[in-house]
Amino acid sequence: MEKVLEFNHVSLIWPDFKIDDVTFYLEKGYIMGLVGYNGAGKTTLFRIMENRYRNYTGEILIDGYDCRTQEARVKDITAFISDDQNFFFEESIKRNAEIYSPYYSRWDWDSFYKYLDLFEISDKTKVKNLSRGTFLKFQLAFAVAHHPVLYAMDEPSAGFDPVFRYDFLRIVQNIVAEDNASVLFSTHNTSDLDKIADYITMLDNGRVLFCKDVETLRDEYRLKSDKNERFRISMLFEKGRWN
Amino acid sequence: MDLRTYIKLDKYYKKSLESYYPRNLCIGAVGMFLFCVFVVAGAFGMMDRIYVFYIYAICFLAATSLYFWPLIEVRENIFTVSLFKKFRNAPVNKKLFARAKLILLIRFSVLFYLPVQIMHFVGLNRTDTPQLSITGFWPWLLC
Repeated sequence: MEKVLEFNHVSLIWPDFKIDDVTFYLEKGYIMGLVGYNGAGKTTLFRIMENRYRNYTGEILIDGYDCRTQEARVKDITAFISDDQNFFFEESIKRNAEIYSPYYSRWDWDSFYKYLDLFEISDKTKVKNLSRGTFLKFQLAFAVAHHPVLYAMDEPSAGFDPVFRYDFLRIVQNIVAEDNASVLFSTHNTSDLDKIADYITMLDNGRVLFCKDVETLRDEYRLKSDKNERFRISMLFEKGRWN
Repeated sequence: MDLRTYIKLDKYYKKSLESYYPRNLCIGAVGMFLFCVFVVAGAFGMMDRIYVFYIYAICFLAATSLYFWPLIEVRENIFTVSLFKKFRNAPVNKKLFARAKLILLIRFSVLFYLPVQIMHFVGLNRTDTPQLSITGFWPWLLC
């Protein structure tokens, strides 16, 4: 068992919110869904991984590298995909790739252009002119190009149209299969996770309620439920059932 | 990647930015210097005053900051954003990244300072201003 992502007793306390002793891990080649109500701490966990908040206790390891002390190495092997990623918005997609690519040890122009073509994005377009969905597609192409071992995606599918959302999930599965990468995926569209997630981690008020594989959740649901209903991840949000 | 590579990437980055034209800015800075010293100071008869030194110092600072600004800030619409923020999720060694910029600033300062000194000797040699000496800046320390 090769762990790609490990949260070990991560805590971060603010006056009005806290991340409380978060511990879970993700193995290589799997997709983990991070779910929870608004304000549960999902985005905060991503930001901690990005080192935007550094004053946490505990440790986060990505492929064995510490997020805090080996930041450059961690960022070389991790792709962060979210709405608030920083690029050179006044520059074209191509220029952005040219600026950032020398810093990545495994940058692959062929993959970058393959995915830009797949998403039908012109490399001459300025990043500031991309719509939210296209911006996320560009980020995915950019991420694939540097062959990360972990994709950390915060609400990636929220900006996609229904047709592309289906394609996007297929692409994520392909990436996992081809590159043997892992994906940490937060979303409120739990139907996306029904299709692709291997593990589910549920957060509530900054705490991990559980981190289980989908098969186990399915079995537990079957034992608890008297209805003959197919298990869906949205059922986890029925208050009280899983606490 | 070593420091040399970071410096090379910084130079490459600056040269290729569409929103920034280093050559124009440098020409502008030198032009501003000449304008201030030879036209403004000369026309107003301030050649022998301490103002000349102030103009000299301001031009130097303006030119270096014009050069340095794109290495730490990037323009976005009417605002500027820190370049460090732009590279937040890129795999950069922050210490080398910052050090490369500092080296470029020092290099530019020296390269800008030397022609300015030559101009000083050619154009302002006859001034009696004690602040404009062979040492250029900080003359009271070195004379």
